Amino acid sequence: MALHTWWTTFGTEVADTAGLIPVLARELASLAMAGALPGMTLIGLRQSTELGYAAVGLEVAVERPQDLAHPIRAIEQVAVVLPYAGGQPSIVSLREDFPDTLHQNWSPPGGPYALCIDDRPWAEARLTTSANDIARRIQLWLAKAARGELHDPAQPPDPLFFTSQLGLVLPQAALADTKEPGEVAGIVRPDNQNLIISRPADPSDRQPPAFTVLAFQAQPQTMARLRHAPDTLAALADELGKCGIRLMDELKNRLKAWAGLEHADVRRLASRLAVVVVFPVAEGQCRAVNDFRAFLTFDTAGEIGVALGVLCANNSKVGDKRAYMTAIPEGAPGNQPLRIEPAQVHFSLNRDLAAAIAGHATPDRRRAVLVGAGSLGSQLSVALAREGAFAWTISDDDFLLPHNLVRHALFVGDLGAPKAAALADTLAGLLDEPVDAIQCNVLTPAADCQTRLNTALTEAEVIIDASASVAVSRHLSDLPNAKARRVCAFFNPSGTSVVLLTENADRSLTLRDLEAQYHRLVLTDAALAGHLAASGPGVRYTGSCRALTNRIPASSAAILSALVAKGIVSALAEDEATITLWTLHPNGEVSRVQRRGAPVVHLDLGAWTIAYDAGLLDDLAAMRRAMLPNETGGVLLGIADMSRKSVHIAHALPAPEDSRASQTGFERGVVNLTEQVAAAVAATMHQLRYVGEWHSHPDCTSSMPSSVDLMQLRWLGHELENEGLPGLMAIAAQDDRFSFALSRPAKANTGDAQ
Amino acid sequence: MTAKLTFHPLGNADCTRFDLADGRKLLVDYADMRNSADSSDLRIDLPEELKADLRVAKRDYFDVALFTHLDDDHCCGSGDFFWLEHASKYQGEGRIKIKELWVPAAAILEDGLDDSARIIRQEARHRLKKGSGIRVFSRPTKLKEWLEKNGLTLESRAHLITDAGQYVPGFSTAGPERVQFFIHSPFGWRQNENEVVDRNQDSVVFQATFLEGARETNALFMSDINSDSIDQIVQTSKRHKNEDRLRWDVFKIPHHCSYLSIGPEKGEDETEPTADVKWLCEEQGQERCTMMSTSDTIPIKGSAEDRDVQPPHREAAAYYKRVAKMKDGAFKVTMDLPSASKPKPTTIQITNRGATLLTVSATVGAASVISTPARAG
Repeated sequence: MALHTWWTTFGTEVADTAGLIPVLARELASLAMAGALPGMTLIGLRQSTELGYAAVGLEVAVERPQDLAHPIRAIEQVAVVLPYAGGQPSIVSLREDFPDTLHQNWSPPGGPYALCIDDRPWAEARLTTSANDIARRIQLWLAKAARGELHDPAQPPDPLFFTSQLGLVLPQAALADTKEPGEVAGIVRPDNQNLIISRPADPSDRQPPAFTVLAFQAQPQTMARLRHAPDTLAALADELGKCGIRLMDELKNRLKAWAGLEHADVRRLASRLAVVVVFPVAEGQCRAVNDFRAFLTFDTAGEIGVALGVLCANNSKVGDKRAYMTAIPEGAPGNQPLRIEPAQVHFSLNRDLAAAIAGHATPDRRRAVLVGAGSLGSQLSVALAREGAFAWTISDDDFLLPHNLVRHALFVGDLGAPKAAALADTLAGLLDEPVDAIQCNVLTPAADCQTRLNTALTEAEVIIDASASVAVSRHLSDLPNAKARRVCAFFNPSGTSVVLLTENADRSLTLRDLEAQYHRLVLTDAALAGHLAASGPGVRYTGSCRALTNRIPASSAAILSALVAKGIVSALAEDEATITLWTLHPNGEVSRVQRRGAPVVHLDLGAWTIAYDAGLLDDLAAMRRAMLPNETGGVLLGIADMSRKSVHIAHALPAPEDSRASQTGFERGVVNLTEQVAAAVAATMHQLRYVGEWHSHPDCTSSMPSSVDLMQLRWLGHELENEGLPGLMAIAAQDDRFSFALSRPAKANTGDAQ
Repeated sequence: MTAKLTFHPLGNADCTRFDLADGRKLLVDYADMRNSADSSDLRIDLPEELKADLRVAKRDYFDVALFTHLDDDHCCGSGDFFWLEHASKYQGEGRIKIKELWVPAAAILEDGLDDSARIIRQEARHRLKKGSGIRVFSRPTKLKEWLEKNGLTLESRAHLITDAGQYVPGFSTAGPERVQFFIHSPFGWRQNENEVVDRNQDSVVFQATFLEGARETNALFMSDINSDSIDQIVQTSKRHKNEDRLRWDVFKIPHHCSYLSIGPEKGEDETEPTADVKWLCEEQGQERCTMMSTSDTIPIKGSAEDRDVQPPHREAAAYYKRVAKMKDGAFKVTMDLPSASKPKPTTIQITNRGATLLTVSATVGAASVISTPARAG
């Protein structure tokens, strides 16, 4: 079967895996070459130094049912495309006729179809991404496509995922009547060139509107989805032709109708065009959902008319020089491609929203850096600022979009503004003090922000992480130069609880340590059952893969944010580390669970760091004692951070009921274990995973691994190899002596923890 | 729950577990082939694997254990694994009980057996005399004689006997189990003609028909029969207008991929099928079917294994692969799944989309394609 021409023309062939530049590409290719990826065969390696990408070609054996939902083949050829500089891999199908399924990304015209195997932002995904993980996700994606199970119940059936730098905020009114073109005036803020905020144009305005909106409705019956992002007007016309829209004919008719010397004619033809297409979503229970796509022209309507041969510029001495006349006879369309830029459509919200937060002032001048000016960050900082607290620096890289207004502390006047700057302005207004805004992502700050960010973090007395990002939280936790205590606050996904992790004053317990203890608390405290359960489908605010916002009522967000604001102040008044959860019950009651942080031990065992806390050791010791004189044991759950090569053991499960235990040995059983591990993984929203095994030694014996243990550890290493993890074994012995052993490399490294 | 068929990597030997929609568990053959003293032996520890599965299901028995015939590669180690009623020495703790034992008539009648084969024969004879917990396939004249010699009549045991061409009672696609079993072999008449038991040719061949939604999925279990016997089955089925009972979505390849189950001549690179085998494979196999060879890895041409007379035969595999390709299906080998370096049990799941050989879905820790963020802000 011929491979997609993209593959054969992409860069040059690479003979040896060692020649691949991206580390992940090398890993993936070597695993495939070694036959370590079941169902995957290497078909080639290519890379392009010019483009800065490497591609690993793979044949994937697909798990298929007999009756296919989509014509996925038993063997599919795909390429994993990886940037030299590291970053999110793209997966493209190497056949020209890859079927139209859900969960694909738009690709450039003529390019191969792109599978969306992972919709998480790269900063989050890289924590768990390994070559094995990529391989498995590709296989799962294809298996689900074959079964018709790609559809995520949390999302309405979606046309192809599409991300654009550009956003167009469009009033609904601009689309109200498709017979008369809607005219909108647009403004682009100097601090966010990528968002065009439009409002209905004022006909008396002498300035031409930014855009004239041409809205089209795609026919549901004939609807074929756009699979490539068109980059010229001609390409768009081709694509829309498949949806029953004759774009070029429509355009020519309208442009001819607009020709003339009248003021309105001149104004329209001097503006650019925004072609907005309404795609009815065809499948599933969300029939009423429309998907909006906008395509902005670079040229004005008049220039386009000239290029299409239907207009000519007003070269006569009569009338406005900017006017256009109908070309008679019609000329041939020019060859110059008319470039267009796709934009995400954001609709302006109705004005039925308000958030009133009551507060009272208490003075506190400590320097605080707030990372994440989202709903929680903005609300807690506004609440604290209203109490007169903290000299703030706000860091955030995002811009305020319409859907943010539901729970955010900022208002419609700041629409499109960088959240950091707008929030800083608001806080500054409350405090009547200047508040610094650093518009950056703390994980990847631009060079010009780096110094300011470093200074702010170094000088801070409190760092408040409200980013709702595990990646950011761990990054802040690890910052070497900052002395400030860190606190981290986030809502659970259903928005019924808020969590506050506070480091102790000497920082011997960091946010990373507390993260693991938080998960154990969630698993073991009956009051927290369902804490991390997802609440059902989110709300889509634009047509992209990640564009889901949680359904959390503003009132809950406000209550929980205010509780956290209070909690930060009281937690900082004490020196201990604490984990606090407030849960808002349907009857309006709020319950609180609070635990002191337990001391943590970090062990460097070769390439990996292992961490565990006193709470875990207490659990192990208690389970050991309960089974004496016999041995006992079970499964270890923990947080594995691939990018840091660290395993934080969070929780130990007791022995399954079919385990065989004696005074000299222990063999862990299997009854209910898969269910228990799956339940724990689900209860922590995939933050915890299986990381290894523990068992006890009887009285009067050492905690060091026996020869049987070492054999077992080797087996464990072998099993966990597929997960990209070392085998990990914990042993609990008499008098609270423990040892932890890792399988990798071949020789076991042991650390004795008294 | 939908039905699952789990095949175990045992080299050239068989053991397939049927997990039915109603939770019942059937075992088709049991051959514990692994040499535990040899650390390079990649064959699975079958008793451990089956016991772990039963522990998870909180039970100590199989609803049915079918021995298609009593060759070692289909019953080896049974005396150490099962709880058997005929002698107390097979009734220790940890043994696995069998509610209903299914055997071909030959397993009752054959003399001069050793080891596992003898143990299973004794158990089958015991149960047949007792009149419960047993099903015998076919009723050759010798079975009548055997019963009479033991003071019993064929009539008194008729309800425990199922002939070729009949469905096994107690299973229906309309019941909660949503499956039925149609018996193709053994034939009573052939056993009347032959003096000596020919185990392979008198082994149990059956079709399992699963119903999920409106989708029927058929699995054909061919035991160890050769092409002559397949020809007879095909001709008999056609004569009785039972062609549908030879349709298949899953094909347990006969005799560990031996060329003799396809045609009389091995062929240079591909065994040529007899007309009936060709019809069975090429006409009755369905789109995207799965052909499962319960065998060692298919040898490479010219290798020492290739020169071995024992199956699997490269030439036979070439024919099955061609059929699989024609059907956009798959030819798989138990010892190669999921990889030849680490073989593990393989499951075929039966759903309303037919049969799916699970590869990625079955892996531990399989990441979900879409993950929801665990924190909100």
